[in-house]
Parts: sequence; structure tokens; C-alpha cells
Amino acid sequence: MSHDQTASAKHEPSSDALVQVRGLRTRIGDKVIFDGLDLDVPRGSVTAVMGPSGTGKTTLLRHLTGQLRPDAGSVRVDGEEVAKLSRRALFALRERIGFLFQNSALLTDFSVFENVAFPLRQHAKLPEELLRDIVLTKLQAVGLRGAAGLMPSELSGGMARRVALARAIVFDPMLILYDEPFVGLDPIALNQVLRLIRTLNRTLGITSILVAHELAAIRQVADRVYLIANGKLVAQGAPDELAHQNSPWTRQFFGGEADGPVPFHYPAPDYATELGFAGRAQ
Amino acid sequence: MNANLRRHWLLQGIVSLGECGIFFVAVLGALPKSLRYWRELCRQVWFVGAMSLVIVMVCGLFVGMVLALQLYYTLSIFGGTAALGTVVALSLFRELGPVVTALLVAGRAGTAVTAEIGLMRATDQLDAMSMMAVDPLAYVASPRFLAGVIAMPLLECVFNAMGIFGGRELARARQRHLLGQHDFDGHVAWRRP
Repeated sequence: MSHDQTASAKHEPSSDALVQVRGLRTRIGDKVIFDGLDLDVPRGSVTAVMGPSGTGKTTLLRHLTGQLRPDAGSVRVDGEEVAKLSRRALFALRERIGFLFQNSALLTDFSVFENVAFPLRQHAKLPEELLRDIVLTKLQAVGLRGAAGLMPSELSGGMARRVALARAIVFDPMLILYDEPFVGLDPIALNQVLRLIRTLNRTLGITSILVAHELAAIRQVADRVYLIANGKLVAQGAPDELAHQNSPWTRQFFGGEADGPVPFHYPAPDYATELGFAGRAQ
Repeated sequence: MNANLRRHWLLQGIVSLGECGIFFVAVLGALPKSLRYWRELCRQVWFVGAMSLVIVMVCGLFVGMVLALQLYYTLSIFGGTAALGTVVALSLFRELGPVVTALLVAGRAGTAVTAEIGLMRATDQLDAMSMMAVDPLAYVASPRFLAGVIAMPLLECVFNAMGIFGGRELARARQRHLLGQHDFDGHVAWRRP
């Protein structure tokens, strides 16, 4: 597939899409993050969003949860136009979405148990015994039932991420957004987390959107990959299919090349001029 | 150029001031909802109030003693040392108590709360709360504000009480010549109850 063919790959609007993004345009300061982004995430799928750093993958997740409003275009989650929801309706939608933050975002004053119990305590009036059982079940799923009494400051980065994952799934949400879920995990924990994501998807039909860079992990777990660059969707497909596509975008991204359509260097004045070497040559 | 910059900074200042005002109104608006989180409110009253007690008591004691010492010299010139207790108490209640307590609470609890919320912001904890459909204004900001409103008058009373106690003890010491004053005129500044 040629570059143009890949870049202009139109996805077909799916009636069963849990997430629909149409013509999304976002600008932060002077920087254009999205310039007419379109994508669909089918219900019950595991979808990976990939792209170079700073391309707006986390920003896309923030659009899906209403933390950011688009300059133009629409973002629909479960049929609801996120930017037009009232605060109350937005919070009701967020109760059905789990979010795993890049840096875990555990509440530092609370123990591991209380962090996982926090959403339940706020939104569900459950008997203490049932709440305890649910929390311990989720902690067991991420292998940290024994760490329930620890404080976040006593956890390693990988453990904190697994606790945050337990918190994200404590309500069995319809959609889970994972922002860099594999960072800092050792191979054992990584495998378990991959298995957990797959199990949640298969047994409960939870739709998952992963923002990640680890192609090997994504190949194991994702049904579909979207590659975003320069504010647009530049490639999409099944992970194996995408890795073998012969477009400049996929070649550069999956081959880790510095040269290609995505510049490695942030725009800057001429290097030699800035170092004061211009005109001194010879 | 400079004028433009200054204008820019001025505008920035006005914008910041406006944002502070909007934030304050939002915190007030979230107060009714924050009453749901009464456990958090109690925790904050403990943190802002009880944890500030020691510094407020120590400062109150010494402010009262210094006030009594200085006023004693002045009042003794006119033979008015009997009024020392009244003057110390009124000074503390009307002026020094609220101001010094406010400064102490701002210095101890205010900075701690600011650092705590700053850390929560930097580590995405506020966003995480918001993502869990918990309003950070109602859960974090309003309880801390309300805790300050509850704790401040109580701390001020403690400050005043300690100030009066300090002044009384100082006057008693003077009365007993413990502080080595030779021109003591014999008037009783503070009487035992």
C-alpha cells in the first residue's frame, strides 16, 4: 500500500462503534495536535493507538473523557457527544469509563486497598464486606492482594501501575483507556497485565483503548492498531498487517528510523548558526 | 516594547486575579456538595486546627508576655498598672489575636495545603479523581477551605487565651519582684481569681 493510500485510508463508519471520532481538530497554544482526525473503536474490541511522542495520543484519550474540548469536530462515546454533555452527564459517563494514567495517579494519602476502594466508596453504597471482597478480587487479578496494606510510596513503579489498573477495573466499566500501561513492568507482570486485558475483553466484553509503543505487546493483545502522526490517522489495521505495510509512516515508526515523514528533531534554527559556527568554516 | 511588556504583565496579573476570583466562587459553590465528604472535612479540621495548636499556643504565650511587659512599663508611669489585664486582653482580642493567628495558620497549614494540592496536581491525582467522577473541588478544595473557616476562630480563641495567660504570669512575676524591677509601685496588676 502506498503512503497516500495509507494516509487516506478511510474507515467505514461502524454502527456498532463505541467510540466515534469525526473531523477532530485541536490546537494547544500554537501547535496543531489534531487536524481532522477520524477513527472508530468497535464495541468489545481491544484497539491500540500508536504514534510518535507528542503526537497527541494522550490528548485523544482526554478528548474521550471530556477533559479537553475539541476546537472542531465531534467525539462520541456510547452515542453521546462528549463535548456537549453537562457536568452531571459527563460524570455519569465517566463512571462507565476506567482510565489508567501514565504515572498511575494513585492517591498518596490512601493505602493500596483504599485507592482501589475509592470509586466504590464514592459511588456505590456497598456493605463493607462486599466492598472488601470486590477490592481483594481486583487486587488478586493484578497480583497485589498481599500489598493491600501498603502505601503508594512503598510501591515500585510497576506495582503502582498494577494498583492503578485494579482501580480502573473495579467498576467493570464498559470502556477502559490505558495510557502507556506497559511502562515499568517486568516480563512476568507484563504478561499478566496482557492476559488481564484480554480476559476482561473476552469475559466481560469490555472495550479497551491502549496508548502504547511496545509493538510486541500490542501484537499479543490488540485487534486493531491506529497509527497517528502529524495530527492525522496515517495507517490502520491489524497489528501484524500494519507492521508489514510498506508505507513511509509504518516503515519509519516500526523500523525506528530517524529519517522519514516524522521528523526526529523538534523545529529549531540552523544548528551551526546557533552554535556560532556559521561563516567560520575553512 | 517595555510598555507593551508591562501592559502584558498587567493583563496577566488581572487575568490571574480573575481566575483566583472564579476559583474562589467555584470553591464556595462546591461547599454544599463537599458536606458529603464529612470524613475528609474532619481530617482537614484536624490537620488545619489541631496540628497548628502547638505553634499558635507558643506564639500566643510569648505575644501576651511581651505585650504585658511593654504595657506594664508604660502604665506604671501613670500609675495605671491595674488596667494591664484589660489592655492586654483587648489588644489581643481586637487586633493581635486575629492577625497573628491568621499569619501563623497561613504559614503552617496554608503552605502545607498548597504543597499538597500542588503535588496532587503534578501527579495527576486531581485528574484521576475527576475521571472517577469525583469533583476535585468538592473533595479537595472545599473541605480544606471549610476546615480553615471552622478552625481559625477556635485557634484565635486559643491564641488569645494563651496570650492572656502569658500576660498574667508575667505580671505575677513582676508583682513578686522575680524579674528584678526595683521601682515596682506596689499596684497589683493581675489578681488571683
